[in-house]
Amino acid sequence: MKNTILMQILLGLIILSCGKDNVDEGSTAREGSLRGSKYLLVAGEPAEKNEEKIKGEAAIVFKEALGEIQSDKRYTMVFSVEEGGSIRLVSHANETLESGVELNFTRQGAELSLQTHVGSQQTSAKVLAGVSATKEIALVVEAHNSEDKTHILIWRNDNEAALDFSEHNALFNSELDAPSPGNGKGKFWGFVLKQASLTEASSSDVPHHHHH
Amino acid sequence: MKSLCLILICFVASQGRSAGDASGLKISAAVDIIGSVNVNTKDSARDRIDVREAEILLTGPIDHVFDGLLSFAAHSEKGIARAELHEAFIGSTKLIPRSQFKVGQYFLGVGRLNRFHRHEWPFISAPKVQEKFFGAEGALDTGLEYTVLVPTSFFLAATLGLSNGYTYGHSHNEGERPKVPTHYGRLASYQALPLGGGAELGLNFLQRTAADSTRMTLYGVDFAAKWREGPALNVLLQSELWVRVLEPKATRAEKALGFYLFPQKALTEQTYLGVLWDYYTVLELKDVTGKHLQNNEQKFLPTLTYKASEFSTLRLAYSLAYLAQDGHKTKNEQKIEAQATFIIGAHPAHAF
Amino acid sequence: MRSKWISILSLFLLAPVCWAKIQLVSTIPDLAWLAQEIGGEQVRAKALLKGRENPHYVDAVPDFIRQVSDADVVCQVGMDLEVGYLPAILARSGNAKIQSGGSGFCDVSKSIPVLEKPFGAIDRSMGDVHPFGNPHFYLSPTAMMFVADEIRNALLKVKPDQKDLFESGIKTVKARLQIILTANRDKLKTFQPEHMLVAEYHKEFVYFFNDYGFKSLGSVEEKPGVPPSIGRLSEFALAAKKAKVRFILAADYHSAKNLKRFEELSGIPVIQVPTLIQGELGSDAYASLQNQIVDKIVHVLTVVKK
Repeated sequence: MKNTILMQILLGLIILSCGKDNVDEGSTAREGSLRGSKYLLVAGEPAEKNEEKIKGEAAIVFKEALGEIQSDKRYTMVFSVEEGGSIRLVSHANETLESGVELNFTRQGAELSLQTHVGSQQTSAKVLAGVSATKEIALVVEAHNSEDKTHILIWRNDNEAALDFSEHNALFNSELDAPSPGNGKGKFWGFVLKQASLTEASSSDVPHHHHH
Repeated sequence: MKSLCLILICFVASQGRSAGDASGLKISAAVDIIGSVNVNTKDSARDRIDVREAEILLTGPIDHVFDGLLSFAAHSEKGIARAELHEAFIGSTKLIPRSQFKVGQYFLGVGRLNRFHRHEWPFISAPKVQEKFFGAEGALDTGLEYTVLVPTSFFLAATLGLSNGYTYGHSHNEGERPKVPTHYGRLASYQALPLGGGAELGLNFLQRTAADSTRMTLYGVDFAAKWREGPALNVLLQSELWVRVLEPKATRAEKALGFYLFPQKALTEQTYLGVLWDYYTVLELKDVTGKHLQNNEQKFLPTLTYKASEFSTLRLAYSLAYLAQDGHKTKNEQKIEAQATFIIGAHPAHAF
Repeated sequence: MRSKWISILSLFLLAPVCWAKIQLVSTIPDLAWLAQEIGGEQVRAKALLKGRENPHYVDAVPDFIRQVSDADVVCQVGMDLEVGYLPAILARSGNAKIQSGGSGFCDVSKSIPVLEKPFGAIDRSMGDVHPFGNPHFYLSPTAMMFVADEIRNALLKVKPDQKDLFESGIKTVKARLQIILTANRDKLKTFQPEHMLVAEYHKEFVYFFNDYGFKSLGSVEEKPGVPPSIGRLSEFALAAKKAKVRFILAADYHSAKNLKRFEELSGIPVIQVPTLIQGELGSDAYASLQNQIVDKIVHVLTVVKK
């Protein structure tokens, strides 16, 4: 009798510890960190996921809040996209990356094109001139969500670029190229990867260069 | 647009001169020049002097019933000069007893800073709460505003306004028809204080529901107390506190709170020392896991002002800005700011 | 029967109007005093300022708006003295009749003999120049007699049926002003003001000096409204000393520090006096003000003589 009870307790403990391990593994699997920025995996299972890279099919939302909904944010991103793949930067969205401003970068051949979505509204695709989609791409993106219709600005951020982040030097300016269809309604940001890899991503406040 | 505005301004100004005093037209111009130098960051791109604003203001009686006001301003925005219409409205204080109204484009009659042109502010730049909730130079819209003096034994004025609301704050496009236009109100009271001083207190409300169904509500209190001795404003105490509730469709509501406090004392008849305390926080800010995030942005700006007369102002301020998130400072910025403003033309009113 | 009831009802409704006093609001207390003396029981006069303020630098305080919103008449000194605050107050009052040009708007400077009207081009580089002439005529009993006429005219527009009362009031107050003038001239006679050189800190006593026969060297302020520099203080102190200026008259709201400095540099007594009625607007209020100024001058001249 005593042995049976002991065996049952031991079995129970084994099952519990196994279960606990499974829970731990599940939590760890959903969390990640990219060069120090912690994120949660919202959907998908990336083929590769470590401190230097996230690759494959995945949707991630960064843990830290952007601050407030009507804020102006600057993102740096370094990524590569396979043929037919895409990477979507989602800004000012909720915890599950909904209700945000979505910048969808799609590769077709050597070209990288951009389409902006807010809810069901979207802009037409625009090819980003001078950006070769066949290699790793470094961009700086600003989403001015405090303005009526989020003002999007994009610059190249590689060694060849002038690193002059002024509007006239922008690769893309939603005010000139394709008016943004609306505003994000949340405080979080993240990415949706589809046959793409992301090796760097960070956010900061937009430095205001003008006394307005 | 820029040259058209300039031609229009010159034409109107010349007409004013030729018309002489008979028309009652008053023309004045105000210029606001600012400069800043970063002290502890490497971002020298922002070290520059700019003509932040040049404004021309024309006011005068239209006829025996109505008065009119027209103002244009040129701004330096991102290094480019933009000319735009600021205020243009027709109004009257003669039609309805104890009342005045205006119809047209104007700075909305809420708060304290929003009711004054930026070059008249007692410090150099907009506090965070003003910038976030109203735009750096104030909330401007087209509509109708009505103010009535409540028949009480003390000053009590109620203002109600309704404006288009197609845009709100800083916008470079014509906006979209809102679900509910901008509507606002202010209740203001005044009390004389000992030693010849006086204080005005205002309670404010503003609301708008944008085209995308995001509802914005602002609640605020504004306060100004002054003790004047001749040309010198011996003591000034000015403050505003605002709460904004942003309710987007399908996401959680956001509440933010901001306030500023500006006490200032006259050192001599022409020089003043004040300190601006600027505070802003997003209430109940959480990260994606639901963990509460402490956050606030604060600025302290000791400000020295020199006024040779009521028509010119020179200011120097030292800005210490902190951004704190989760108990640690993530941003620490120090800079020196300077300002020169002047008015030429018609004598401005000594507004309280 | 019906007409009887209509008459009773009309009487009932109109009675408050007929018996109501004229609500007169002036900028400075001296005008309110004059209006009260002229209008008597038919007028309730009050002033926006309390008399201790520098009338050049007044804010458009919200309570002023409330006070003028119910007024039947608003009286200003004019000549741009109130340009910094009165238009802003009137514009927010919601009171049609007291707007500039309206039946209840009264600019008392209209008929006074203006002194120191500048000629030629004037601009702000010259300081706070009054382009229509010196507005500080309320310190002169003679000028106040002209002011009384303007106030009487304003009251008559509201209550033309009280002509006799207002005429009687103006006659009495003019007589009183003459008594004030004569009595104070008598006090000063022994000092022979016509042979005396005096000066002022800001150019606000020119009408007063004119009434009492003083000759002025000028003002300590080099440019009106601009605080004098150390250089200017020294320069004028020397000139005043050389010219044997007997005293400097300054309003009580001017900087005591500058005045003390000037006194030390020149050795010339500076007399600080109120330039507006302060306190209650009793019948003797204006006389008290004039007497106070003259008595202070007499005291200083007496002490210096000894």
